[in-house]
Amino acid sequence: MDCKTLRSQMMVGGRESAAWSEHLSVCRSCAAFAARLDAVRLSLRASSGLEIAPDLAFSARVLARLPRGPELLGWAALRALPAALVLALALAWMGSSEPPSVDTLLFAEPSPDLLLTTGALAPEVHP
Amino acid sequence: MSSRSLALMTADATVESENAEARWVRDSLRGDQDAYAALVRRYQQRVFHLAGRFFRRREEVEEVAQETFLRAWLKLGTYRSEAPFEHWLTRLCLRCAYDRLRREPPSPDPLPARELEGESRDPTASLEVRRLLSRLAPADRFLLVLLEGEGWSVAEIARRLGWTQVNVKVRAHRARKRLRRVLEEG
Repeated sequence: MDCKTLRSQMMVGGRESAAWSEHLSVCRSCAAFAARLDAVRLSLRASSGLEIAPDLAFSARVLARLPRGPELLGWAALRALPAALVLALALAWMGSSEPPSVDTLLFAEPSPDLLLTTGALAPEVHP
Repeated sequence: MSSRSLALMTADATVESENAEARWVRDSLRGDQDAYAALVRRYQQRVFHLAGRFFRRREEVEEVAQETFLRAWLKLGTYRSEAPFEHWLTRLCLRCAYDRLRREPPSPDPLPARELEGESRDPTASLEVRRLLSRLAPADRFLLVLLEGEGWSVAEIARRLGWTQVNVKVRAHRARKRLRRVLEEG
């Protein structure tokens, strides 16, 4: 096994094999590399041994920093924004448009759309 | 007491605890700071533990923890209750730690002897390791702490941080490559 292969395997957490041991016993550079890697890994894993615990007043200090109520208009509210806008526009349009007069409703020429919906212009179907 | 009764009692306690948490979240959303204080007390230990993975000084850990709970308060409206609150808070804490690491990398100054004792029996070896780690970019150190320190898989890191697995894989590969270079340079 060469140095490059050994180091690549070590970096991805490969398992120690006879080939590793054999190489490490003759290559001082790789042995030093392995020792440094082990020390770094040990340090990363052991950092929880240096546990820093919150003191009794921690929550009070957090509360003292809270500026205002939580952001109620977060993403959840933003998702409802399009529907709210459509509703607001519909209400505004209804409020601004005048209702049709009785004369218009009774004597106006019916539009083709209206005739279609009532079936007046619908094609006859013969069984 | 039979094991079945014990299991039922444990399940009841879990449900009760989850109900209390849901109530605290709901009340916090209405601006109830007492309810939020209860949430802080429940998770402060977990947040300190996680922040302690990236920072060794008490004041740094405290600041990250405070920032986490501050952001959580401000963004509580974005929390979706289908996911556990702890996962959401963990993500916020990791982001706070990551932001701080990029903004202000931890000081390479040696820790007080008292703190080094807790880290290793050999303070000289600890200093050597810290010297090596300080040569890594904050983003690399961040990934290595999660992979090696917390022992999380790529999938778990992706889920916890809201990153894609490909993104995590690429970052992890780069971090390991740079660590290798640092170790080779000695």
